[in-house]
Amino acid sequence: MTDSAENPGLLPEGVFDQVTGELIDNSFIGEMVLGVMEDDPDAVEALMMQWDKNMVDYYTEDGKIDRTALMRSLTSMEKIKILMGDWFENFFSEKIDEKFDDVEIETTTFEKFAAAAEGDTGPVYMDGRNVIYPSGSLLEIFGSGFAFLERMREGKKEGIGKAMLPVESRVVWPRKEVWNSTKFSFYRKLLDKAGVELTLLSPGEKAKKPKKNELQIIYGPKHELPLAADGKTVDKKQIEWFKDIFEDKVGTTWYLSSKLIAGIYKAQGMTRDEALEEAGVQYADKDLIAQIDSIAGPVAAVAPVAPAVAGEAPAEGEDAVAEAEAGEEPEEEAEEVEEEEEVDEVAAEWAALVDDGPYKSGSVEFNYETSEGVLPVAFDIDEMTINVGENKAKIVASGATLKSVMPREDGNVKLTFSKWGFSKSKEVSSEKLREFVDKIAVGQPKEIALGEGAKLEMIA
Amino acid sequence: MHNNSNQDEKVKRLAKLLAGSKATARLMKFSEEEWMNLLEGTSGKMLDEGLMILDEEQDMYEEVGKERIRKKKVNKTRLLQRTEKLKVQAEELANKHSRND
Repeated sequence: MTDSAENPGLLPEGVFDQVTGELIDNSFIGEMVLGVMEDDPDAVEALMMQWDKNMVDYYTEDGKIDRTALMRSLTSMEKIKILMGDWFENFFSEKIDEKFDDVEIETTTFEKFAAAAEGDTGPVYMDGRNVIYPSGSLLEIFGSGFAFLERMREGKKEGIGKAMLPVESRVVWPRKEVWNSTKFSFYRKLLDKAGVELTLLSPGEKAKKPKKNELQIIYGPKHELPLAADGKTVDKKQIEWFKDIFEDKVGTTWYLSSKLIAGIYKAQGMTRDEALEEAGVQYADKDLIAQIDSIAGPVAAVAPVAPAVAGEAPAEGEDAVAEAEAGEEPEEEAEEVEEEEEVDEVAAEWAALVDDGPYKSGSVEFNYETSEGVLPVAFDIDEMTINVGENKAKIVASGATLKSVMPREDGNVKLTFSKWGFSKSKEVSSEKLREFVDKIAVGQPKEIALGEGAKLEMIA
Repeated sequence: MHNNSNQDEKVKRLAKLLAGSKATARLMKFSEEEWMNLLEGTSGKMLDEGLMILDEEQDMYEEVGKERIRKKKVNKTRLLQRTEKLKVQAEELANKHSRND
């Protein structure tokens, strides 16, 4: 470290950039910046990140800040911005302290907020744990926190308003800069004052279940998919990290981006078209297609298991499906492959269906073993009906339309519904399918719940 | 009374500086009137700190302005010197040619 680094007062007055001629230092504000940096290095680091400057580059080998290098790399304008960023932090803190008693604070989970939302502001459940939320309405819950600031700005002195703050939730926020920006420093101070713990997770960090009073923000990629240094392909490590979060059992994760979900699906092993469709991506340009194509699927392929119709039901439930899709149980798969040698004609027909799927229109027909014997079964996608022999049941899914039917190798059937331009999938396990088909075959009961608001209504 | 008017003056001056500050434009873009609303009731210490930083910003523009003027002067002087040098060289060449003729 140099003398001037030890004593910033020795830095020369008026250092000018040799290329641009811009003033890059004057010692007075330089000293103030160093003071802020010592008090709150995270805040300075966050600002510098926005200017594509990395604090790591300004540390000496013994872990101290190389003041000279840092001062010389910052323009005077950047230094003023750092100082003003720090001033805003203190200013907001003072304002919130002063006005907090006038603000009505309500905390709520995203789940409760979503349950109250109707129509096209509602969430789209991808499975039991991951939710894509139309950005406008997810922003509403954050926006209510800013209402306090807005009303002060408008000069409102009385009834500053109500702030609804999310707790016990985690959300993938698409831009890192937002939570480091000055305006959000107000929000962070508000959360702090209201006793809400804010946890910001960067790629690579392990997520834990959010506590009752905690809001977790998972830093999403700047461009909807995390891109590698070339700016064209997807960063392998980061997409794996997002996949791990998508698959973990920590709790519900809320997403603003269906493109990120498509990337995760591709990493899970879906084809590009399946991934885009399942995530509900409405339009994929050539850049997005190239990005999705650059994501490799899992190394270990998912071995086929015996179709349910052959008498072997796979493990039930979403977790089991996720595990099977992620190829996490190779030993069991090996055993089941042997059983596949005994596949009968019905199972062979099912296997052919799997090869030709997914089906997006018309009728998906196959023979199925029911309690009434082997009966012809047909999923009519356009009519949204399931026909079993002479009986018929209507699929009712809260106004959503059936978009596709995908028979799976494990005997499950994946039904994809569409509503308000978003897709929602429902995996019907082979055991459930057998149960439904059995019930339709005998025409009882009149209604069969499929879960998540969807049901089968028997047609006489 | 005097203290209050002094405080009001500070609020007005800081609101004007904040609204016109290039450094804060991207951080928080509010009008002078909106800043006045927000700054109302702010502590004197906070106002003083804000004024100190934004005064520095103003000084910075002055310094940068002065430096630009100085650089322009230097560049113009150098250009003049080069032109003079070329003029002298051209005259010498012309004289040489005329002597040869």
